[in-house]
Amino acid sequence: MRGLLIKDILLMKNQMRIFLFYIFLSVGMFLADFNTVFVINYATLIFCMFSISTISYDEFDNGYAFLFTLPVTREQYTAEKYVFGILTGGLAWLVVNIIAVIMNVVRGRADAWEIVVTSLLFLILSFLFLSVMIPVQLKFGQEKGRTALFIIIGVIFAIGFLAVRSAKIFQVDLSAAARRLNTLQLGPVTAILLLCGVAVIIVSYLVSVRIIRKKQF
Amino acid sequence: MLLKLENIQKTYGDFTLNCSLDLQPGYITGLIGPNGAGKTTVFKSALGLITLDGGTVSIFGKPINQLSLRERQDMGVVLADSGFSGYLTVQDITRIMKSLYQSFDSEWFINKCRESGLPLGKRMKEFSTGMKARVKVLAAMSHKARLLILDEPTAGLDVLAREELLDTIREYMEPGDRSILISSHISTDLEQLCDDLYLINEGAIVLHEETDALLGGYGLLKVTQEQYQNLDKKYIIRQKKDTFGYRLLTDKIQYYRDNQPEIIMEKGSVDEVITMMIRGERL
Repeated sequence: MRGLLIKDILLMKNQMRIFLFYIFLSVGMFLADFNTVFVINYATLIFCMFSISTISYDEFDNGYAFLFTLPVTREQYTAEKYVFGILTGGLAWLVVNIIAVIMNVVRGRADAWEIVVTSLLFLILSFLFLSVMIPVQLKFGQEKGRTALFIIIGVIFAIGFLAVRSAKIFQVDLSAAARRLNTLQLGPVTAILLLCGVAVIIVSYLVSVRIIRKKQF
Repeated sequence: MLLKLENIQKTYGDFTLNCSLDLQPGYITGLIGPNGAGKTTVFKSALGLITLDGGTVSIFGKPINQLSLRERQDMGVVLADSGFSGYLTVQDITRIMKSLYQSFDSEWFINKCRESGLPLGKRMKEFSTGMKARVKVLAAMSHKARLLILDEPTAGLDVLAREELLDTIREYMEPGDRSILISSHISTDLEQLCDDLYLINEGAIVLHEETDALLGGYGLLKVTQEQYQNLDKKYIIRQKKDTFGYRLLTDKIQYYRDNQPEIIMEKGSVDEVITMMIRGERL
């Protein structure tokens, strides 16, 4: 696993300019007083996605075949993609959070803790997005993966639309439900979501392992 | 046996691979055949990169999927159509190999790359075909593996680079306990290097012979129609009609030298044997 992580870090070295660009962009957005949580989420999601980009590098020029002749198992390869995504996303989240908290203190605002907890919620959401993207990318590859992602997003919107329509038909008051959610404590909600997030990552990993085990190179 | 393929079968559309192959300790075994004969499919089967429709593969006496990671470190692989990402540099590869292989000799690898004039800090996608081939082979050899599996390692190399590479392979065999399975479509490469040769065509092994026996015992007879009628064909294995009369492939050239010295004979070369085995008709 260590060898694969080193490989991906070295591959990402090629995208150092993009890394720096996003960090500067985040700082710029903070200075321009953009919504802090938005900036943190934006940076976290982008950095999580670097893991997907390493899958494209591996796939390019039939690189998979050689990778699986190295002393690594297909399970290790799959697990490394999650670890790499969580590490890069988590690290970006941490760095941008620190900058955000410092900016908040400098500006004399008192909501630093709330920012951290809210952005933690979005960190989990970023990992959930990663959990969808990794198996899709492994299954369909770079070209078809993009189409598959559009279809998945389309299906999610369609489900949402249908849910809202059916709620109207069956006269369920969604805004009342949303108001109730708002009254809940942020801490316990985040903890429950964290557990759900871990469960989703595990299920996603198992699906990815099945996909990669079946692959022929 | 270091590597054993037993009746492996794989079908892709109208191509079917069906073959057996052994690699003995201390041997360099060559796999030779025309493009599309199934060489790469044999390698991918041996390495567990494709699922087989039948047959078994064992490496170091174990099925490939039961090899431990430590045992897999004892293999070095070059694939014709795949390698490390072109976005990595030789220095990057050194770091990766160091963390993957306990026996990786980074000094040897770097020195060999320098000797070959390979820039260490340049991305490999900017390398020439020959440079890329060289990095692949050196990386495969850099961790003192007992088993090397080299699919077309000399593809795209000029004569000098090929000779240099073949010398490196010979040097690699010096410790005596190492084995190599190598494929090439350039027969002279394998003629010089291999202890035994497998000839593959249309997914099947059509000939397996020790290289010395092949070069020493096989030969071509060029006979007229009349000579053909009177010839003792006991040791003729393939024949091909041409404008002159017949070209005949024998695996006992000495027999004909002794008994029919008037016939025009040529010593066997791997290319001639391949052509006759594939294009010639059986008797």
